[in-house]
Amino acid sequence: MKSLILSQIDQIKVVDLATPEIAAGKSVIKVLACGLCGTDRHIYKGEYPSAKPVILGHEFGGVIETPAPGSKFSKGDLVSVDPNIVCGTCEDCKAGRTAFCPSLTALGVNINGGFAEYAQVPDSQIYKVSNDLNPLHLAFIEPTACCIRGMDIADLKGGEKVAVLGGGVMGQIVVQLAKLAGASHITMITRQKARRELSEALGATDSVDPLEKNYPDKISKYDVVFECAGAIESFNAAQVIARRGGSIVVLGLTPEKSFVDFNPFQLVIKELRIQGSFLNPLTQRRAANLIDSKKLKLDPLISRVLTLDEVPEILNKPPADGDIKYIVKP
Amino acid sequence: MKAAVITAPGEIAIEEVADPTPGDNDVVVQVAAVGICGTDLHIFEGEFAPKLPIVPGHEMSGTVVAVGKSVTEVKIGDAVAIDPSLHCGECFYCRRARGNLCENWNALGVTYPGAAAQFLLSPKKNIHKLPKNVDLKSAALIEPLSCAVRGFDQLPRNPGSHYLIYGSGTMGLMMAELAKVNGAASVSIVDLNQDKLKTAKVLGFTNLAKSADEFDQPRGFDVVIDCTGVTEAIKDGLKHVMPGGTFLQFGVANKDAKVEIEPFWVYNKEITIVGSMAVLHSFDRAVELFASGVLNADVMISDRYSLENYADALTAFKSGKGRKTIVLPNG
Repeated sequence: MKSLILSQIDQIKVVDLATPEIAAGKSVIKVLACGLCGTDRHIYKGEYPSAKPVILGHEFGGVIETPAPGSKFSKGDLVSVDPNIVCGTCEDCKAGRTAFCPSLTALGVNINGGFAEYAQVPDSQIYKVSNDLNPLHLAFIEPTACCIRGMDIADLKGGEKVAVLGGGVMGQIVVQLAKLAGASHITMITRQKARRELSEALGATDSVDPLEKNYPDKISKYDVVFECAGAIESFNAAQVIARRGGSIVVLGLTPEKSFVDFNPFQLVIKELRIQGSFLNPLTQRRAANLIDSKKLKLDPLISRVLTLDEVPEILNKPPADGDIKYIVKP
Repeated sequence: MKAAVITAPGEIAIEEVADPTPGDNDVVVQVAAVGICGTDLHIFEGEFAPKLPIVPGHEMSGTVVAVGKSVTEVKIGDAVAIDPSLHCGECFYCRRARGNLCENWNALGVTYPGAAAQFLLSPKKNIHKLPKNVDLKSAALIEPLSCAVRGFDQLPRNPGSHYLIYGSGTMGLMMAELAKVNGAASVSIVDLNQDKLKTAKVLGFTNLAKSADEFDQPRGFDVVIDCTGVTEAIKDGLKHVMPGGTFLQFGVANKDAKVEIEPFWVYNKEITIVGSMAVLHSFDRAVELFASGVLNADVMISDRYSLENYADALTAFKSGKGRKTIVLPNG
């Protein structure tokens, strides 16, 4: 089968590999869609650790090709995959902190993932969806699950004002989730005009260019600020635009070893709450249900559909302006 | 009546002032005890400048001696503690039940006359009746305890958590006692001052050290609370938060203090960093907790002064040697 293999940092190519076979508790899926994520770029550049060689791709789904012996899944089921595999028996797992499992491994990072025609996946990671779902939407279930984790942490209440910093796929999904959760006002803050316009089409009330001169001091204050840009400036701005008693939820991945200052006096006087949100612990089912319900607008987020052969070139250059999500159809 | 009056930055005098008379919804309290806190010192030193002159003192207890026409909630002779917060009740934050963030914030002992006097005038809504067993001369501890309770309200409610507290002074020890009654699996306290750690030992705490690195908690702590406001302590405390854990900023830092954090770590370890400001719907619970004996007042109160010696009490407090300094305006 055709597979996209990362053999070492900066070395990626499409090769022909043996099709994976079923094993105890592991079914084989024919991959119908696999999203290209910022993490794939980080791995490719050596900025995020991974196994090598490995088939990348952790935002994927497809149809069951061969169910594992005794599997509850059947050939032809449309399914999504939670790439993050935890041990379930360590102290962190047993305390419900599964994202911090020391044995955490991930399909498409440490073990072979979805940038291939077929993938072997443990049944514990498989979530069935309706067969009439657009298969391209399967690629959005994992990032949506990460956003739902952020929503859980934000504890957003109906009628609250929300700011979303960053107009990438996470930001555009968070806008929609905030709207579903009853936010009365949602402001998208991002540099690219196309992304601001898109967010307003998806449910943002208005949008702000962070380069405008009144930003961030003069813009209004928000109950909940989602940091989805993964940028230091954005993290700093979040502390300014959160109102007294407000929350900042950090969903964006800033580079390791980059630092910001926070002011502990302001933290007390404003009673701010700064919270991180990492991965998708126990939220994949809800994300699959939500996408299955067709309440999220996902087609406008799909910028390009790629073949496996097109991926190496794409990984070598930054995403084009206005582009949100590339999906690979192996 | 006699009152301690801050007349100008650095100047305090015991003066004869008019006895307060209650309006329809007011209560006059004969002050039994008034605690001294950093805020009093800031006002005295002119760093936090409300309109002067002002009678300081916002940690207070006493006995009701007069009530206004519309007061039915308490009567003359009742033992009471007084919540000093004067929230406007009308601004954006008050109407969201976040009065501690009030846009028109006032407080007894800060912007209105406080309890460093023989008598105190208070709106009836600020008065909390005390159960019979409470020692009135220690009950000035209830106000700082209500701030600590607000701090706990900002934390997750997870019994069986490991707590790490920076600062073994009055507030650190109150936090430690609250951690115990909130079902802590363990309470560890850090202080650079050996004498302060000894007090914690008297109260029964055993995980005590000059550096948090000395504690055997390889995963870190579920909850880390800074009660010092000192930048170095805050930096060190952040390092000891367990993945998924919470850091509470309780100590008041300098206005321009800066602490470096790594957003990747906040994200990757799902850290919560949260502040706690003064008192919010926590005074009545502080009364209950105090009456239940959560604080050992004999240990928590280290110094007692008469009203005449209020200036000495401020000086003693500033030295930072003891724990809570109390003034007894009526002896």
